[in-house]
Amino acid sequence: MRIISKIVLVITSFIVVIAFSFSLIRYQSNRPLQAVTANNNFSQHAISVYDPSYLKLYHLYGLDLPSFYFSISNLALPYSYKYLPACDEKDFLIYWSCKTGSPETIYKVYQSLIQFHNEEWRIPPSQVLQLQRLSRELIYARNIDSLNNYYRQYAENLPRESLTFKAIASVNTINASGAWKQWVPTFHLHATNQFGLWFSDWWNNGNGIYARSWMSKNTVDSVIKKPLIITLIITIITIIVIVFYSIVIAAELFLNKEKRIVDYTLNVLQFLYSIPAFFIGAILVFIFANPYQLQLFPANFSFAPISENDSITILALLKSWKYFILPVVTLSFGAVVFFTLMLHRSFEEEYAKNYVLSAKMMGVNNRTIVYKYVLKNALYSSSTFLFLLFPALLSGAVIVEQLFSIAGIGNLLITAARSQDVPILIYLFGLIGLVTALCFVALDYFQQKIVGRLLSKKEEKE
Amino acid sequence: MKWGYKIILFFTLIAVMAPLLSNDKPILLISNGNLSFPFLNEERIQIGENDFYIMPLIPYRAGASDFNNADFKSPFDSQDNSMFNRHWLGTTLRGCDVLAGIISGARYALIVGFCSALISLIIGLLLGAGSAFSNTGLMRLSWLQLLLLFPLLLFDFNVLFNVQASLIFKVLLFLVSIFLFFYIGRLNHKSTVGVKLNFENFESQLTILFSSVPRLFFIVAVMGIFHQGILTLILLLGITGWMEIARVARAEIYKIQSMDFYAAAKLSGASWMRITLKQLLPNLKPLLMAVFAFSFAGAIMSEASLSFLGFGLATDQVTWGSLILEGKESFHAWWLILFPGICLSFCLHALFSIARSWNNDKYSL
Repeated sequence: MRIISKIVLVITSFIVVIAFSFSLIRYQSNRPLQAVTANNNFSQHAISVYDPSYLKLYHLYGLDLPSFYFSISNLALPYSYKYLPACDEKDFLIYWSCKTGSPETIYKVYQSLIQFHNEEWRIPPSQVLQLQRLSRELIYARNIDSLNNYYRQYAENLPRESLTFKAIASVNTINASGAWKQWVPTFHLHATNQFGLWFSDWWNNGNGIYARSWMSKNTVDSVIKKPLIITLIITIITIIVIVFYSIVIAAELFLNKEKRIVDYTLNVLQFLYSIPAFFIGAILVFIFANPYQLQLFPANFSFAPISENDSITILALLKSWKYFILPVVTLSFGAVVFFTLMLHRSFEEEYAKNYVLSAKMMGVNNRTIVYKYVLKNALYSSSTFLFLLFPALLSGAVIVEQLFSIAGIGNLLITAARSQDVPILIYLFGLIGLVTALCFVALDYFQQKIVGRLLSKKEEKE
Repeated sequence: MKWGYKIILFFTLIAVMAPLLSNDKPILLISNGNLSFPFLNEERIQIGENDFYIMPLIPYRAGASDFNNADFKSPFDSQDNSMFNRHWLGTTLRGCDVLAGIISGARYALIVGFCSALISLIIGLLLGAGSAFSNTGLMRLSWLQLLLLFPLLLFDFNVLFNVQASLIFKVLLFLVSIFLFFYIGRLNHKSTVGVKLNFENFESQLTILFSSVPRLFFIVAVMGIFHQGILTLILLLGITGWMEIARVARAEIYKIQSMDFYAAAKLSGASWMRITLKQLLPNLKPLLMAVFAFSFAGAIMSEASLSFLGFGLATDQVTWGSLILEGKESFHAWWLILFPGICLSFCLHALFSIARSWNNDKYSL
């Protein structure tokens, strides 16, 4: 029952994480489609926000939708204002709607301004630019009178028959009598939203805009598959290295009779713990991969046989063993130091217990006691670390993959973040969150069932 | 004073005196009999031939190019300037002084680390202590509070995210509404109708939710979307670093609550405030100091890692991480990796040793 409730909680938190990421994307300061349109093959430069094709793309990518099934807004502001493509337009409309409480009027005037911007044959282009700048400055003018004056002056210079003049003339003055409306919260429900779109795309096996990368146009699964496998291989090798080396170092340190050497080593280990992974990695690259120095191991993972083809074969994996050494050492360094110190401490705790004393009295070798009995109990007490090692290494992989140019999950995250590839970002976020949450559940289960049972057995015996 | 504090004090002094230590403007200038301190102003100045001026110890600004000494001059190379203007720790590709960069890096590291650790401490302490207190059953919501809870939450949400006003005003309004909520609870504290508030479960689930998102992953994704800047970085590091503090605070408050002196203080009729200030906080202090030092170090390490990835501060702000990033690009520029890395490691080690000294545990981490 407990496990089921945990899994339900994991799923809920997964949904919360995804919805939260959509809300975050909503608040981004730059224009969401700028990177996408700039990277498309058919256009060398980004499309203007007022271009009809931009609006079409904006709608296609579902960016004019709310992020979740409900939202809280206020009375003065129609919620559709928040999902406009142009940032200037959005800021302008939100600000003046809240200040005046008359969204329809404001929208009408602004539409006429945009119309004016398009009617280039009526006024010279230099004047259009000036008007745009003025309008942008007026957004934060915080003075309704100045806005009214601005429109009046504006209308005076216009030809009588123009649409803009008619629109402005129909609005005599904007008054601030509806400003109280912004304090009244309202509750909106949205049947179609970004989360729903994402979920249906994901459910229908990748046939929608959120199931394909916005950059490479491939399905998210195919984009993520190979990086995931590479990162998994590196992480698993690293975990094996960490567990093996920390057990050996901690046990040998514990068995050492020279107290001076042990104290000295522990102090050195404590200092090593405070050295960041990327510094270690950079130094390793400088010493071992430097063409001017040793050049023992290659530092650029993109030349490895494993990175050449799309599919990963065991032969290619074995051939590229040299390429794994520096990344694995960098990634495991901090964790080995941490785990060694932790194990050493739990060895000291366990060694003072009665079962060790009885084993000693039976004449069991000290080395056998440490490796056979004390180690097992010490590992139980540090199970938290072992279970949470995997998510921690995934986070560390971002740095190591950037350092050695490994095409893994971390590198994918960075390229996706730079180019604002939302589907990839969301997928990675959800994947990592899910993996970590499952690790928490597994840890909980382990501690409940295995450690708990051992403890209860011991109590029964006592 | 222990050496951990000494190192942190040293870095703090460097950070505070950074404009005095490394600057391309003179500290003191006497021109035509007028005394001025140009390093305080942003404006460019002209130094005449007969003017008397005192330059800082390092006459270079962090990030400013010196094209005479560009293309990675090592500390031991012959440099194209006088003995006093030497780049003591070498230069970068554009000829930026590394020592000036390290000084500016100390400034950013300490500011980002301290502020974000403070934010984490506040969030963690509030949530941890709140959940520990709520579990005792002392926190009770009256029916009036229950009635007001949802409208107030809705109102606050609307004010924070939808109303167009200044941020200070919004925060003040938020604090007023919190005060109002608790004041109403005090007004009818004798009413027997009400609900016991227990958000211990909620807090622990929230902790798991936040710990389940890897810190660097989250910050890289968000920094890619948002405007890169020091405030965003501090907020993000603060928001993602409170979990350990909350966990520790909750456990420690449980421990204190089960002790005899706490019961004695309660039985003697001490007020809630007095118990918190006189019994709880002094006993929490050592552990909180330890956790604060740990999160300080963690924030500094994260900031350096993010700068190393290119997702930290803006590109014109030189930090230890960005110097190492520049050193990574070229194989022979060891001075770009070594000196910032040593500063970073010593700073972190000092903070860890401070944390250990408060924790009274020799080999714990």
